[in-house]
Amino acid sequence: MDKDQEFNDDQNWKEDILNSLEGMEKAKPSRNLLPDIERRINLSETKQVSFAPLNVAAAIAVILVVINVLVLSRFMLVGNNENVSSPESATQTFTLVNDFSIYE
Amino acid sequence: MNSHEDIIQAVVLGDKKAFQELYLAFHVKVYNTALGYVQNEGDAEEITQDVFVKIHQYAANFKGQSQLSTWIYRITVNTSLNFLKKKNRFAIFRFGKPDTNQPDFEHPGVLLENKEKSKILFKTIQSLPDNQKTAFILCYVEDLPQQEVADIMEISLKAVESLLQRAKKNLRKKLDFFAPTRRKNK
Repeated sequence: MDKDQEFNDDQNWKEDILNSLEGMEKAKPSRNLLPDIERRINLSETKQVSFAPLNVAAAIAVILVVINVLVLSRFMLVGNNENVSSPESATQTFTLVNDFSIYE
Repeated sequence: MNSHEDIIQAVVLGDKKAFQELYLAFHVKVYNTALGYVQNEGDAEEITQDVFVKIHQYAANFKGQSQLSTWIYRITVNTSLNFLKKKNRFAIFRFGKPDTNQPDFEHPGVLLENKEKSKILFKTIQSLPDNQKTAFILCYVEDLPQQEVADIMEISLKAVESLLQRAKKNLRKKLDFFAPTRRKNK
């Protein structure tokens, strides 16, 4: 067989391969596939439902932490303000204490 | 039901019959597309399951900007490509290189006289880059019009034509390895 003939044969063969899907029918999956899918969907829905209370609990916990932080920071702010007292209030306190020092 | 869009709306509202109707309308398309990629009936069924679970999960995201079939094909293509990537990744972990010794795939729908030839074709399709593989599978395995393939791949019609030309060129090159005269001369 000469080279040209071999080349042509190969080319024809390749074209046959490339066209080998012509007239192909569709394959069908097993009949159990739909029930399997529905089972998976139901399972994922159940999971979502069972996770719902956890999400609520997590949200409540976050809110509580935020409230605590706010209250604490406010408390500390007020405490600092009380510590920085003016000289006048210091004398008042002193006077007041003196008024009650009955053992002097 | 009037249209696929009505069905998907019913699925969003939790209508189980609508979901079954959707499955009946699309399961063969999804399964055959997946089969073109993974070339294994068990894996194709697994992908079909994943695709329909995703359709159920994300039905509300379908806004009707494209045809429902285009949206479902897009999910199928992405799920199949991800499945192959994951499979190859695990194969690398187990054997150090992707699994190339997969047995020849015999598509159950291929005509009897084409069985052997199609086995070679499916083997060579595996070696194509992802975008060429997708264009080839959608056009020649799924037998979709090129415009629909362009919509699914979100590229132009010309880009699809170019991908198909390159895919065929690459396949011819790979087929050299299997050509009868070459095998004879070995």
